[in-house]
Amino acid sequence: MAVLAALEREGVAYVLVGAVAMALQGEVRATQDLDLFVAPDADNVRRIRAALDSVFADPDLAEITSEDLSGDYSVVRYVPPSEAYAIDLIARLGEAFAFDDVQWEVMRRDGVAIRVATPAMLYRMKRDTLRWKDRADADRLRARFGLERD
Amino acid sequence: MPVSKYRSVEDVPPLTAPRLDPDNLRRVLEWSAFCRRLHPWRAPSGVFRYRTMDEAAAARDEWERGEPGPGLRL
Repeated sequence: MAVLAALEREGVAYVLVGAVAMALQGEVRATQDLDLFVAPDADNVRRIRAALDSVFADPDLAEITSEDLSGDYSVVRYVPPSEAYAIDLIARLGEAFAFDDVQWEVMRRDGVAIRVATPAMLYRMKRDTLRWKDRADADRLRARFGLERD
Repeated sequence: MPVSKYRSVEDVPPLTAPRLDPDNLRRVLEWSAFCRRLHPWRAPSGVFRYRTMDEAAAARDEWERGEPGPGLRL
């Protein structure tokens, strides 16, 4: 929750995706990842670093760069010291999705506005992946929300 | 109550909760913490870069199995 509050405080352009987003949409499974779709421009990446630094105060955060996220590395993972989870910063998924393509809605908790991907968006992101867990997530989303296979 | 058996905590069917309920964040954090106690593992701290989400997922799965991942350690 501290990370999500910091992202809002710094004005980060992000959308929560992955298993935590699924949980907020009502399908709760265990995870150790916080997946964030982010705009990879330099200003937003600076805001991301500031937000995470306000929580973790970790010099390693300087290694998160716009050049990576805008370039060859569409996913940058940060594992905070002494924490049991990873934060995945995702700039794009193949040729299919970039930040501006992600449909989201807002959920409020403890005064924090959390940007969470819609069920249809989560389904589209997960349905074509190689990982069986993601395909299982896609099946659950499709069944619960009556989504088309398209 | 019947007994159900699973090979992994991630095989356990997800809990179903109301959509966009503010309490869902607590639910996922508590459930994940419980599963972590059943199957503890630790990722190395730091920043890692991946070309695709599938590559990132594979690295995470290898960490979970206790093996070094293919990600580029900065």
